[in-house]
Amino acid sequence: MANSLEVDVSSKHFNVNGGVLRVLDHISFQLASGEFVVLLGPSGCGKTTLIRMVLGLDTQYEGEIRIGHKKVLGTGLDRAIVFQEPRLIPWKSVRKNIEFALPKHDPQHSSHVDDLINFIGLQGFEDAWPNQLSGGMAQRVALARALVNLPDLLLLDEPFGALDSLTKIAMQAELLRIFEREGTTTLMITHDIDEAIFLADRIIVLSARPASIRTEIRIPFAHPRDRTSQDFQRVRSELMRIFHA
Amino acid sequence: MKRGDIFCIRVPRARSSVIAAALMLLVLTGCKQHEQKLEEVRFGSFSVAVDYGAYLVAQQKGWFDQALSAEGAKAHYEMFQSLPPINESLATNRVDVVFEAAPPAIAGKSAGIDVKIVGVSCTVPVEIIVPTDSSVHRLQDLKGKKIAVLAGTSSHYGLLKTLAKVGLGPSDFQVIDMTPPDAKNAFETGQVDAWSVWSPWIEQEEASGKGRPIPGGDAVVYSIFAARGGFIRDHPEVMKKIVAVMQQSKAWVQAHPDEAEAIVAKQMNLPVNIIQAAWPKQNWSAQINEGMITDLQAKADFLKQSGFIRNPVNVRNGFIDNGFNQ
Amino acid sequence: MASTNKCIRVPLSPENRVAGTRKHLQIALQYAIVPLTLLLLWEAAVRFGWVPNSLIASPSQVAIRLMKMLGNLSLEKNALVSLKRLSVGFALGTATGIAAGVLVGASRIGARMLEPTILTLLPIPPIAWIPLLIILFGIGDASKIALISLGSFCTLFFSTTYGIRTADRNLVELAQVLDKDRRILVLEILLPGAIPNILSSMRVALALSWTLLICSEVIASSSGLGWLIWDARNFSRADDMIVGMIAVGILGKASDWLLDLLERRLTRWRVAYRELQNG
Repeated sequence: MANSLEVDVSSKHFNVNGGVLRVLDHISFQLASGEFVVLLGPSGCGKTTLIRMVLGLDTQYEGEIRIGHKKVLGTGLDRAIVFQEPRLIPWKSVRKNIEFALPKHDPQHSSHVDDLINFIGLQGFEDAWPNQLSGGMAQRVALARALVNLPDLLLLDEPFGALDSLTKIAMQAELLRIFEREGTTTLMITHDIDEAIFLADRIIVLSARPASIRTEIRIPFAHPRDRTSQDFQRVRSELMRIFHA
Repeated sequence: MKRGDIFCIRVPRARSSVIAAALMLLVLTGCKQHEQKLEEVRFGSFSVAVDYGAYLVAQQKGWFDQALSAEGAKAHYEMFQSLPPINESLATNRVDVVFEAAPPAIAGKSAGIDVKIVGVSCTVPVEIIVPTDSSVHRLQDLKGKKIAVLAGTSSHYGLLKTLAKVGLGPSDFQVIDMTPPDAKNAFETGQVDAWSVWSPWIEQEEASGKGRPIPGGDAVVYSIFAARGGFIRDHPEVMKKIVAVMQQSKAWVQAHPDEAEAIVAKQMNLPVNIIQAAWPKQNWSAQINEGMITDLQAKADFLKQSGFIRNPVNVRNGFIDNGFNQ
Repeated sequence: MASTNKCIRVPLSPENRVAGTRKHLQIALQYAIVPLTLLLLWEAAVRFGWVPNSLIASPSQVAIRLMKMLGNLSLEKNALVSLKRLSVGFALGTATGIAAGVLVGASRIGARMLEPTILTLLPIPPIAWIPLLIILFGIGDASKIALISLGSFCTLFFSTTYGIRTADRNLVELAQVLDKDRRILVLEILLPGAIPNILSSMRVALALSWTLLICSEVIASSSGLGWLIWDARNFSRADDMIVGMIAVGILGKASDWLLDLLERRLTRWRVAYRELQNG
């Protein structure tokens, strides 16, 4: 299937100060097309390194990563990422920031971009500067930018980590809404347990550095999930237990 | 803040502090340096020129120091690379006797500086040189050409007068204002077609085979020496002695040309053959006379008419003091 | 009945009006007091002979001379000549400096080829180049423009390289992830990011250009504001000299103000602040 992800990494290390730092240890998992999977793990365990490898920014590792059964050899527009910081280009307007992701400037695309801007709820802000946006609004633009090329795989690296709790909750709902409309295969990193349970079809729990897979949990509940429901709390307790083990 | 205050400072206090500041300024800058005893006589000359020959010989032989030792004073010699500092030094009492040509002294007088011409070293004709392979052979050939000269000097005046005589007005050629060192560069790299300048610059170009003078023209440079009015008033006896030294030196260089050439070559750090080539052109027997006064007035009029100086100068009105030569 | 949203103008009472005017007067005086005092001291210094009038003209003499020179267009003509040399030299130097800065900052090969030479020549003060420039370019406008360009080049090269090298790594990575080629990286990320550095160093370069212009017009020139000042000094025309200096000062300030406008226009995205918290 074109939008599936297969990660089969036996080892990844960095050379630091003459020594060797192992950050990933036998990470192997798959995402089916259209799945929303969350990688949950403590800070510094290597999650971001893994994401960079999937993106194709880092190609020095033992193992293989495949998108739609094709090996990842470098960067490409079939994958898109939303970073923790919005990384909007400060001297471009909202619209131009989103258009920047497009490979070529095509007048056909302008209606698509308008569509996206309306969908993320920023109509009227097409010509605003990034400096004029709040954190949540900026991340929404980053999301739109990631989606504009209709990627096969959407990557999110702790995208709401810098936002306050109220905004975070609103953005999680936004993300869900987008996911339900687009259906893009999504891999998200977070260390926020509630966020993981709220969004994921499956949660892959990673250990501390060097990261390896501790366990996988399926979350079969329907969306939108009620954070106060018993099912939700049950999964939450289980995950907390795993983390304190 | 009370009513009537303007900038939150009590006005009376502001007024008195301004007055205090003004008084201090008056005291500091208005104080005249009243010299009871003369410690030093400061000589100055402009640029490098063979027409200072008598001055350079007197320096080397220590005749100035001898004359001044009776007063318990010393001589201090300075060379100015450009004209403005000379007048500026005269105006601010930093130099006493200057050796230059007449036009800078006239410009100073026009601006209100108290300066008087007290003697003349020599006269020397104004010369114009062209590159050796130039197509210019007569003065008329200079039409439409670029000529380097230092603005406001006798060379400048002489250039204009000489070319006017053969029918070329100021609009028929282009004058490029340059000091001798810069003009030398421009002349040798072919950026100007001709150069109106004085010895030893002329002879240097001739000796190196790079230039030759064009014949013609009877304009003359008066190499004079002038003194600050205040210096003359405060120390007339010293002035008389200095003028006497110059007369003595002029007589000596006429009597001993070979030795004089050698001394001047050494003082100017130039090969003797250059000085020897220039020597015959200097007329060391020149004195202040009616001919010089007329010529200087013509130069003063030229400077005024061309707009170089603001106020006209009457050279017969307290500008030339021949009294020390008697 | 007035609606709740309408602004109602309250007429100023006489006391309020006076208070407002006095406030304006206070502010005006605060601006004017130092220049006025200096002018008065200067006039007095010349009138009472504290400084020689042959070398320094009083404000009143300068004012008279200024009017005269404006009237017979001599000041305007010289100003235009100087401005032409300045703008050509400044534009040339700025453009080449930015181009070289981009080459060296964005390309390792460019850096290896160009940087050692440029860094060796950079510390030489532009003024020291004058004799060589005159030999190469002659005594006309070309050598003056070359001198000014040199000064601007050095300034802009330095700041452009710095601006590009300190570009936000996050944005460079973004361009990588979006598969952008080197050209787009330079034109849309590195160069615009360096613009604040470039613009502020342009103002420095402009001030330097004025200095170099005046210096170059002292040698072998027969027109321009630098020549005017030099010629006036040569013949002890104190009022002309100060008129020239004032003209340079005013034009220098005006040109800087123009650059300031440009800077503001090109960096509007920086100044805009967070206006709406929409979550």
